[in-house]
Amino acid sequence: MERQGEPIEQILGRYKGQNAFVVIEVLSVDPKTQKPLTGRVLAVTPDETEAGMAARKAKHFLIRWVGEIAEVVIV
Amino acid sequence: MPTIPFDARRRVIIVEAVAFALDGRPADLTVLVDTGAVKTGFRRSTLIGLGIDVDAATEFLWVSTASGSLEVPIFNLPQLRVFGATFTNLSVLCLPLPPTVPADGVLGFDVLSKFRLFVNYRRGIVVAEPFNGIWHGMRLVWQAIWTL
Repeated sequence: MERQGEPIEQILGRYKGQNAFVVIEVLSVDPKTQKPLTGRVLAVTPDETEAGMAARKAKHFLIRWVGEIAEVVIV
Repeated sequence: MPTIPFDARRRVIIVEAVAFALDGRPADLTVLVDTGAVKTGFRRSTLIGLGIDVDAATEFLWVSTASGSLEVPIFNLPQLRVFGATFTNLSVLCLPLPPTVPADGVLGFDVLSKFRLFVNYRRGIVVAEPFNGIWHGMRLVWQAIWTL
């Protein structure tokens, strides 16, 4: 039986405040909205290149920063 | 017509998008709607994850930001889906976004200019409609009024 992983929000909550990129392989999506529901962690790293390389192993991925968020954003 | 919610408490418009690698692998992204940006761009980690060799760029562009000018590489993104529309072979920048910017990339004029956009900042809603004729334009107006 294929592993369905754990809810994405739960994963991100676990690593909250670590100032790192969490790379998640998406294992299931909402059939209606196609939004990611569950996944598994591939890497937790502050390095962007490392995060990207880890994401290459996934069929479907997302990368989220868990840490300090800028108060003011000017791009 | 897509009506997209965003968290207005963050004081930036961040929406969801999906990018696809050349082999069809999807990546779920969060992108900043940046009406001040000329071109769409993504983080290094996102582009690497999509199988792009970010150190092998052959094309570069000088961009001016609020904090100075810098030269950034340009890449071809196989596919991007945002606001219900699909962009194929989109030329995108590899942006050195600080990790503290809560997004994987920015949507610039090249993408945003393909839509009629209505933003309700108070309610945190973006209504986006591709330019598909007057009927769709009227629908946008109606939907924008509906979100007030």
